[in-house]
Amino acid sequence: MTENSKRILVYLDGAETPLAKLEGSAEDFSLDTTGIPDGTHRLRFVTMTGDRVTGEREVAFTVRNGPGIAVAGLEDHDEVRGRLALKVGATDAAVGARLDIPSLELHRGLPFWMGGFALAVVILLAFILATEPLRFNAYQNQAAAVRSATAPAAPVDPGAPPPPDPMRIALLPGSFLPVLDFDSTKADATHGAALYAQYCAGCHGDRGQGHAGQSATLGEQGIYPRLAGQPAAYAYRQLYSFAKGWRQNDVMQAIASGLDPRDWGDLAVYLEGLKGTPYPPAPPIGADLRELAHAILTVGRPERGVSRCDGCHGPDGIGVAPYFPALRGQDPHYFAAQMADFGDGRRRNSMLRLMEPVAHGLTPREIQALSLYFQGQGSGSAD
Amino acid sequence: MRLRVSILVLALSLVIGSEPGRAQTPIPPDLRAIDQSWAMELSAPPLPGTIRFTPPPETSIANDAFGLMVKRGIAIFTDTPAQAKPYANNGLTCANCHLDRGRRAGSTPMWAAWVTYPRFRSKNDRVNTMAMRIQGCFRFSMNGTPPPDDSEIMAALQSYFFWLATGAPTGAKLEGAGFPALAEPAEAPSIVRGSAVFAANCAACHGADGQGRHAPGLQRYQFPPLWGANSYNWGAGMESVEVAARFIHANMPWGLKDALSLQEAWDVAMFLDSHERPQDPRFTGDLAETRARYHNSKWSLYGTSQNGVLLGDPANYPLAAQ
Repeated sequence: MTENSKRILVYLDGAETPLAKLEGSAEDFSLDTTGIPDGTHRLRFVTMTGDRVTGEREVAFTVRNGPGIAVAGLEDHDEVRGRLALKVGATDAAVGARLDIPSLELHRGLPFWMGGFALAVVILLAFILATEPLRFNAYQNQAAAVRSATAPAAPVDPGAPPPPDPMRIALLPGSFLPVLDFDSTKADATHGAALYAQYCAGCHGDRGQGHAGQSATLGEQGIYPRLAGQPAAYAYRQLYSFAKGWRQNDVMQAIASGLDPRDWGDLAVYLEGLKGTPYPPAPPIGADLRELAHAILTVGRPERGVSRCDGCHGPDGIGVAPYFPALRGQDPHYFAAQMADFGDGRRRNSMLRLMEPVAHGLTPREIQALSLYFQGQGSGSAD
Repeated sequence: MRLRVSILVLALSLVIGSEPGRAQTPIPPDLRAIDQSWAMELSAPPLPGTIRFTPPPETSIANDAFGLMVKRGIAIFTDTPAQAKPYANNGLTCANCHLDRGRRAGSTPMWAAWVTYPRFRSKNDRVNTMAMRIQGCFRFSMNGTPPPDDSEIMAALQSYFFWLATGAPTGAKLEGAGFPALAEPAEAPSIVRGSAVFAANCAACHGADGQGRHAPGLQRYQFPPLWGANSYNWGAGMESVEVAARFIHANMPWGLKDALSLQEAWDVAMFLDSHERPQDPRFTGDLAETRARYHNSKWSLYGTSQNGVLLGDPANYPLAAQ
């Protein structure tokens, strides 16, 4: 080898002996992943001239061999009717075996979306523009009630995205909603059951199990969260928030507004009592995503303003009454949608504004990992 | 910053234990990813007179006898009532006040505390070792009894702190030590205003009665109790309104910095420390004398009457019963 010969050494993971030595400064290189165990790995490329290291680069990647089948448009325990348009793919690379939320959403929604999407956007924009002044006033009233007189009187624009620095957010109205008018001991769970059957069961299931798929009542594809067993005060707060416009969903806003606060309480107590509703089977989740989710659950991402989940939601997201909902067994599509809504301000009722920095700080992959992890925590649990 | 308050175990955090008891096989955290993320990009220079320090990643805990002791220390730190059972006597864990397992700057991080001992403390008027300091936490903040010097608990906790401070210069003033200093408020702290701040910002987690909350079916507190029989006693540093205000302003609600205004932090700290809690173990038998000797500060309400309760009255929490 001459003194100035250039070559590229390729190392896998922490190996000391190179996987390949490529002579020259550019060469095709074939990596056979079938000999590498599934999981995350990294390739390190070191360029050398003579005995001198002239450059170094690392590339992280994930190996996933073996066949996988992706089905879009139908999930376990979906309630279906009529003809279904499904999309099925089986590849050796098995990339689709992992839940790909955006593409699944697109596929399952296509038949419905193609018809009404443009119209819905126009109506939604018009609605937002028309009602923004009303909501702004509601926020200002709430602000006056909640903020202490000694607080800085900086004007707060409820529509604005949260400030960029997640560690220094101000507490905004709606962030903590005292539920002084809610007394669970005075609520009527029997009446709540009747209300539930009438207004809720069609979408959220006869036992509050929720699902992502087609609503029996509305006939629409949608994401209908699990409600069974949620703390009553939490459920009450959500109905209150829909009625106030702090959570945005046309159907839920209409239903919540059409009921009175006593009905909310009756429903909330009934839902809390549905603890025996079975959980869905655990979804498939790779070891790397499990570890990622568990790290965020128990440690968080402090440098990105993401507190650990179990600090408020309890071990494995079992929920802590009265205000912190259970996350276990929740539909992953719903989980991802709430993160998006907290992040872009569509959902503005987070307790003490704790969720906004979390939603801002998490990466899409982390949200995906958490959504699958939490859903899987339901099955096999005691209640 | 007054370092003498820098490592008191306190009772305001929303944290309770970092290691949840799981019914299923425990899954190891993605420590590599976590640890990489700990290496923060800090653009601002260190504060004058301080040195910036980052504790080592937990992936670097060696898989040997010492490493096992460090991990045991983490377990005690995050689930103190269960892991240090004979000695801890209330509902608090170390991590309730030393957030992020004692790693969070501005929340009395243990890496900063480790390099400042042994040192003189006016609290007991002598040179204190780290062991004595930890024992003080058990006696006051955990309202319990100090573990013996040569106990496994002491070895484990000190191993953890020593390891956290790997590479930190002994005796150095590290940035983020203790709680950040807090200017005095424009108006004298008010219990009445503080109660409103508490209702709006703290009660969601700690409960309107300040007695904390449990996750369903679990013995351990999810959110720690802030006063009463299961909280820190009158000997703890957090009984000082000033200390509590500094902790709250830098860390509450739940990991949020400066979420409350300066006045709100002082007001709610005043409200917090105007509640009765277990007796100071140094109680001499005379309330006025005990106040004069150990609580001679305008920021201590010990020995005063608040809302009809004489705080520290031995009739409320007799020492013998503790």
